[in-house]
Amino acid sequence: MNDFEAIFYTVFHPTEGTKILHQVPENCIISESSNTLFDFDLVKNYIIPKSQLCDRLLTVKIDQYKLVGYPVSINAPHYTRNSFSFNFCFVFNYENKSSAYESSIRRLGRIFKNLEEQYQILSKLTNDMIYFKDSSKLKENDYLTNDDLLASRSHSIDSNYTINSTTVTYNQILSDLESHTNSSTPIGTAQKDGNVLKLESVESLIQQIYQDLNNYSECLIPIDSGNSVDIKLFPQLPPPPRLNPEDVPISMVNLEGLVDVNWDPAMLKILPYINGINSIKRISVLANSDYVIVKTCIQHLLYYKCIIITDIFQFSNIYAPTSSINLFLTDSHMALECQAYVVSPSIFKDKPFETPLSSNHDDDSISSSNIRSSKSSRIASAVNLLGSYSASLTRAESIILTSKSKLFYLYRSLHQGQTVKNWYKEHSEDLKYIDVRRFLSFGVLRGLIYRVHSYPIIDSVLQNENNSVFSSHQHLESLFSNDNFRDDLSNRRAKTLNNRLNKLSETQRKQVEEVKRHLRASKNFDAICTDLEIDRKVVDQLLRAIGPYNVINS
Amino acid sequence: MSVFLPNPCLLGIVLVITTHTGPQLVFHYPPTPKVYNYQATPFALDNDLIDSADEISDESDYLSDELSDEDSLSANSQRNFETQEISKSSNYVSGQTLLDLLDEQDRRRKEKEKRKRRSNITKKNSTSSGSFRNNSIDSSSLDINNLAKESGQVFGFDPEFLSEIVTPPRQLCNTRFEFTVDDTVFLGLPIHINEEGLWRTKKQKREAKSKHSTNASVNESSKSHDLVYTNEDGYNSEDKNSLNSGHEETNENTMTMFHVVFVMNPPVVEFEYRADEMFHYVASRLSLVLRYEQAKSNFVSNECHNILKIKETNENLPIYQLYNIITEKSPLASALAKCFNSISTSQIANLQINDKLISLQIPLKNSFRNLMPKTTPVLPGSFLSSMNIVGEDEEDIDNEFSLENMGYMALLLLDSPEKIISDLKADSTSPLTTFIQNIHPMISLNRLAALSEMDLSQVISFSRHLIYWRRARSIIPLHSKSVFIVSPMAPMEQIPQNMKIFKADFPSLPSLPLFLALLSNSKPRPYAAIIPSKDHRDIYLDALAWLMRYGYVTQLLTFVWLKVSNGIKLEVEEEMERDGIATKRDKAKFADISVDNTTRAKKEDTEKLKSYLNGKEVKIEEEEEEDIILLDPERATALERRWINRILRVQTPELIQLFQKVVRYFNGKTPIELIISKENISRTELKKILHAISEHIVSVKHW
Repeated sequence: MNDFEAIFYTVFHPTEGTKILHQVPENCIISESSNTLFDFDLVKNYIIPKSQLCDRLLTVKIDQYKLVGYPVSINAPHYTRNSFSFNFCFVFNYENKSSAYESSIRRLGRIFKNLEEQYQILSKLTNDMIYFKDSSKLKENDYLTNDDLLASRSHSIDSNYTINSTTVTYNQILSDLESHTNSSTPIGTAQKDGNVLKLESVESLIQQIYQDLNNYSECLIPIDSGNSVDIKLFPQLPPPPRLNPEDVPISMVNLEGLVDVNWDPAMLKILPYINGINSIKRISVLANSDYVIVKTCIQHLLYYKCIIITDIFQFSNIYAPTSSINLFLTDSHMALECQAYVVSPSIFKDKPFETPLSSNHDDDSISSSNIRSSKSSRIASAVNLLGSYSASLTRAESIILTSKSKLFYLYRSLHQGQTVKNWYKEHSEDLKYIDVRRFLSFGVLRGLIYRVHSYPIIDSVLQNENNSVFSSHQHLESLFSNDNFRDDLSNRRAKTLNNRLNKLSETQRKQVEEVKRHLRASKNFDAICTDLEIDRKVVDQLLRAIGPYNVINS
Repeated sequence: MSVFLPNPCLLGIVLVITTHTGPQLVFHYPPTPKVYNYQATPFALDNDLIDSADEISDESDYLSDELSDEDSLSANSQRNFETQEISKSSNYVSGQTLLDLLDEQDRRRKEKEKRKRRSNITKKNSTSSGSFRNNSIDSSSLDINNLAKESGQVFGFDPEFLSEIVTPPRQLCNTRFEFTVDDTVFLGLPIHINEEGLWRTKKQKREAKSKHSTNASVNESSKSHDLVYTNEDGYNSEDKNSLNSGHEETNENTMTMFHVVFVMNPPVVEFEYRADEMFHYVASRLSLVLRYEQAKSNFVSNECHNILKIKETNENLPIYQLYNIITEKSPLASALAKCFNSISTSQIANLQINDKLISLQIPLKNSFRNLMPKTTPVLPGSFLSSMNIVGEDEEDIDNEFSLENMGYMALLLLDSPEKIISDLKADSTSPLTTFIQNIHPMISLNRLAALSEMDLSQVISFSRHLIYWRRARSIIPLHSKSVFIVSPMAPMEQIPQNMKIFKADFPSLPSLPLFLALLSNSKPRPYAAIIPSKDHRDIYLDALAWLMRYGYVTQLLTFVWLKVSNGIKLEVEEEMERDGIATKRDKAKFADISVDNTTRAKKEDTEKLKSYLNGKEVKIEEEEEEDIILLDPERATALERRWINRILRVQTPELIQLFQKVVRYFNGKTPIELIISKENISRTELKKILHAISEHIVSVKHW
């Protein structure tokens, strides 16, 4: 959290004009010596500005500082110039961001605006009668208009307060101040309507704000029985990015450890399914929750950096090195972390990141359907991994870390145009002690490698949407006159459709339209499969039904 | 949303001057600027209300129920998005569009409320305290916008008041001025005459330093914010006599200060970044040019006089007619208007100021060395290559590496040469014209210099100029034997539009999708592999240049390191023992990271490892490291040099000579594709040496 340099309290003095009454640290802005942060006179018109700028957060740059304040001006007949103006102003180094403080500064101004309107808390604390005048001496109609104004104002601000401002008279203030000077009790400790004022001086207030915020990033200073200056600084984070249904969240922290009683039930419901394998869409299915709500939850977790987003893991995926692969050699911790993270799965079954092997095959409708095309390799790898598991068991809970150079060679051996399946076959010996999914997701999350996405493209769909409707119908007809979806070119002109096939084609027809919608939006296979909840093979068939298609790997 | 997307957030430009009668607002543009009640530009990108209609996604189904009242909003936004979609820069509007929409919504809600209020006016006092704030903001924002139209308010203030608040005391002039009201910032470089009544004091030799800092990149500019723009500025005056002409004028309306104020409402989290950008690239530069012209010929004060006169004589005209007259008759007003129109839409502003042409822009971030995380949006069509010169400024020559390589790079024009020449208004016989005509993506700047009979330094400076002004991009000279991949940043969502352009440009070639499929469906291979015959070579290379220009493909480069196997290490160790040199073996290390202390114990590593493994008590066995990868052979230690010599021992003398030439590039930073032209060796030669020591080499392929 950025510290601020100083804080000062300014009022408009009826005869001396804009004046700093208190400053912390002492003498930092006005002092006898010339050793001040900046020349206050240059900016005082921005500190106590004309009424048009009051009740707004103002920031002004002076030299290498930035002053942030919320000037307030209150009109009331009992003030010397019918108004009282003040500003609590924070001084920041110009390089530092002040955004975390801004809402608090705004609130501070608003609190004291209310308190001043109701109890003249600030004006009385000046301990100077020069800020007040005897309004009873005013002409009758003048008095009324002012009074009306004030009354309506306090009504609109907070109708709960039943204070009638007409009760505030010069004499009352006078007696208040006198009793203060005669007794040692702070002003208004025994206020009317039982309000107990705890604020002793503005100086101690800003002193405490200055110290607490700079030391603890928060403060809690009671003002009276109903109000206090509560400030807690939060860094301003950018809003979470847009997410897609096929995005997969991976937790960066132990999410279950963060849970407390205040957590949203929707969040609790989805938590068990955030495992680095399930897509957002799938989490919503598994948790039986609304997709939009799940997405919002994931965005919240992302906002607080509890998770990162990755891709659906499939053996048909393609990965390739990025220009950041050098980091594996130059960042001395990365290789170590990687060694520990990718270690063969079996021993860490109970850890947050489960392997695909330990999840149930049968209910794996979305993610496993995407993998189905490469099922044979999945099984092969399963056998392999299980083999290594039993081997490690016999050696009594010992694990083997793959050497760093080998890990690097494995990352560099990934390339465009090669599926994980083929890569695995080629390097199965080196991958003996490695969890492939964790190995790849580590690489993606650290930016060492990237996922090469596959986009199906059908020229005719993009070129001319209207014409393609007809041709795709033809395709469909041919398609469903052929029981096995086989796109037989010679059958294309077959026009007869019997009722049974026509009925069957209804869902297919719908799916084809869906696929075309995705094609026009240039969606990749992951997105299409997730949205239609069908696997890659079926999408391939649907695509073939529409027309010859190309796959771009980008 | 990210800082990689352009988002000028510019609401308007105000020109204020000070004369003996005090500050005065001379001109502002647009005629009725929007204020949005001083709110920041919201992030529109993740607004579901907007998204759902705009994007094909299943969310629309989910949302359709909730929307009823907001329906018109999303429909409205969709229309807005569609109209903007054609232009590449569609992203930056979204925030502002949203504000417009919200404004519109506010207005409607307000009207509804008014009606409601009228109906239960008797219950007026029961307004709860909670709703007060919203109501007040609604009404004030509405009032401001309505008032602005009726009473000539500018940014919610009376013109006189506005001119007062953006006129700082003299001590705060000639340095950055920044004043924010809620989230709206008034930013500029107020220019004040000095004690001698001059706009600029003349200095024969201006310090190179000050110039450098004014041109520093945005990151630095935040540091140089406090830079005092003393009245000795960076413009070399050609004619010394003109300098004092301002002095001679004894007009009673003498101007003592002028200030071009840029009014912006950046999103809160990007506030500093956007403000710095605007100040550094636009506000300060424009103000300095104006100061120069004012010093030379009283350009600013004359123009202000002019504008005020036009305003006075045409007082009763409707504001838009008045503005037509002003921008027509006053070059300064028209320049400011043009500046607003271009900068607020992220275009380049080409302004004519007193016969002097200046160009201003906030550079686009559209070339990257590293791939951004998938959740970080970037401009579609951005170019990805580790050879990119990023963060370059017009005259930024800090980038040693890129400067060193610049001569071996080629230029890829982003537009047709004819169009660029005519846009630059270059003479058909000028060296710049010849230069542009000679540019070819296969020709390196070195060769280009020879072809155009120009100095390399001049060619480089022309090239930098073209790159900075969005006319060109620097690439490794195209070659049919090079390998290209479809870029991970390829603008897939623009394929429908771009395939039409591709078809029109290359009617005889396969369609854009097919072409990209050809490039990406196999293991990366030389581009020549997809060229059907020798006759097709030229057109295929043209198509390749097109694909590079649109960001669809990028070159796959090969980077090389030396690796030292245990065998070599052992041999060297024995050799050293024979020579009587003590050695220390360090098994834990695998890359010669310079910060890595050789004494660092392996135990420490294992401890750390255990902590990564959640402290679980397990027996950990680690495979022995086999190889050490040398990160920078140029700075090899004595031991490392022994290893290298050992590797070379079995090679022929001529290969060793070749090796010595190229070994310094085996650092993972210089691609071998560039080594070829830098060291002027042939592809086959390089292949030969790499083959000969293939056991001792580790290579990676990326862009």
